Amino acid sequence: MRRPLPWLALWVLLLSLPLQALSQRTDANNELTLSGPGVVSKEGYFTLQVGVPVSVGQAAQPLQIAMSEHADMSAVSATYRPLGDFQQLTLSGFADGSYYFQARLDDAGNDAAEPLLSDIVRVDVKHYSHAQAYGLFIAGALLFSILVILVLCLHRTRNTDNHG
Amino acid sequence: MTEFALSSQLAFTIVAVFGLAWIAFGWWLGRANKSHEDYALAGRNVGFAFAAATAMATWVTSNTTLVAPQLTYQFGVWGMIGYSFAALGLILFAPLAKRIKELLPHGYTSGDFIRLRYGRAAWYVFIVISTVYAFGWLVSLGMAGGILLQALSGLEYHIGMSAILLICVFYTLFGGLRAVIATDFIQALIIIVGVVLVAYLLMDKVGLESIHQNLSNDHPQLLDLLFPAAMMFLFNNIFFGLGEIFHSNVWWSRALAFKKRVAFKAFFLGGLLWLPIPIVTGFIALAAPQLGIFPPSPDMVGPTVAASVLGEVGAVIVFIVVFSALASSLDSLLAATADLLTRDVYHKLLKPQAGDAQLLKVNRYTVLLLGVLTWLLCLPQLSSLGALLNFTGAFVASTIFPILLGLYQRRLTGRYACAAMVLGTAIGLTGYFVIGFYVAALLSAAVSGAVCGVGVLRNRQPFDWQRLSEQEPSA
Repeated sequence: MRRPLPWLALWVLLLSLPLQALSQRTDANNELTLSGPGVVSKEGYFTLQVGVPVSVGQAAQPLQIAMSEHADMSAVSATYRPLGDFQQLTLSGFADGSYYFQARLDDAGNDAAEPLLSDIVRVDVKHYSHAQAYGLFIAGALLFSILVILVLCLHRTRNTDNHG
Repeated sequence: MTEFALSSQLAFTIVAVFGLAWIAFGWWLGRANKSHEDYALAGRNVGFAFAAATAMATWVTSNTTLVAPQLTYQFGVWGMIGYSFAALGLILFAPLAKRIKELLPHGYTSGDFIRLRYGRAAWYVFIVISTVYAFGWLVSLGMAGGILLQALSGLEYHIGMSAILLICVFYTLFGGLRAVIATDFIQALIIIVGVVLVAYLLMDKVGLESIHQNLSNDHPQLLDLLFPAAMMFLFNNIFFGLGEIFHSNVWWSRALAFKKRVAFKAFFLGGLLWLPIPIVTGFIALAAPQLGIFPPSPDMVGPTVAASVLGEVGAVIVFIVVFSALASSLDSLLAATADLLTRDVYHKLLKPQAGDAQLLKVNRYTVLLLGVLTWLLCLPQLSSLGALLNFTGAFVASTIFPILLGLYQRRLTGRYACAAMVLGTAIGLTGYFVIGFYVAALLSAAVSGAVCGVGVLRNRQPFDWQRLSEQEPSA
């Protein structure tokens, strides 16, 4: 018996994907915004997303994101620039700790001489415990050793028994 | 704002020139296909040079050219070293390929083997696993094409993705496995020369010392050999790679298409040739922080850094290498998945009486259909490449032990093989969502292996290998 409903549902879902793709445009707003991962990073990498106001002119300097280990951004440790016209960037290789980020846009085309600044975003990094990492590493090594020994033994046995 | 390494027009011109050349080549080779066996298995007559090249080139994919740098950017030195261990999949498949050729001299697909060896229940599970994996990989490759063009030229993701998919679908459609293997040979040469050139130029222009200094100061975790997440990722990645190769019809169709006595040597050499490639492509990512390159998504880091260091000429080289790598995998996967669906679903399940000409026609329609479905699924760019691939790890790793023991050990029955794949996948997926991606394949393989072990110990009725010699129904 033919059951067209699941196929129909699948096609509707697949055909709706182009519409979803078109709707994935960045929301425009009037403030420079910055958002972080929202959860503790356990691998030392995370993505920051910037929202640039629609009023920003072509003469604006490249967007910069400052990083500090102080909540008031009193000592900036590093600055990062997103690639090309992209409004997000991925950072990696961070050790355990709390890091603070703020986006900055100079010559944004507004009347004030002040640069546009975003809110300060806090990102916490807390790596997995070494005990957990060693445990999985050793379990993986054991299982892999079993597999390799099995392949070698079975292959050797079969080579001596061509009749299978 | 920052300029891109290539202009959109130049990038699109390269895609168009290579694309037209490959489509014409596929059409020219496809004229020799007289039967479904010619189309699906290149007449079972592939020699050593083409065999080794296709094994290596197919495994150089978005995994190696985009995800290896991504994982290096995220996990540091373990990212690239760990990724190169995926070569173990090809190396360990070498003896299995020899055995496959011995057991199934007239076989068509990995699904054939599972159905004949384990029966229908295990076969259904296997088809689901293969389909999930094939779509995961196809979508990741399509997405990688769009990401590549976007990273290097700023060309809109959807245009780049559509162009690369269109090219691969067309030359696979015309030429079948013969075209796939022939283009793989050329693409393998381009990849090896290109990767060596990029590595040399990068070392010459940036230098190891300055990269090390920058990482030590600002990104110390990337140099840490006891980086917890990287250690957890290592063996999971190995089992993921093993599961991909052991079960996928991409590799089985090659084992069946190669000449007798070629399969073992070809896969072994292909693995050895592949081993250093992720280390080179991954190393590129370590230079990113020093160059002030912080990509929007980590899978864009490799081509972006290479293009930034090497300028426009370098960007063209990188672009051609990565484009060749993507195409060599995409065409293989399209061809192998279409074979699997034509043979296992259409021929064995829906139309057992279908003749050779009809199978050939259905196979071509399936290539086209897979291309359209992949395009639709690629449109929303739902996930990062790494996340998408790792999700399928829970599925494929559950097939490692059933495939291995099924090829050599008579005492594993279909019931236990089926239970191993179902339980392995279920526990692997649970681990993926509850614990993290780095346990999905490992848990899946461990559970599946344990179930298979129990099955071998409990069963007293050995399998008769003669049951693998299936007679084809006359059309």
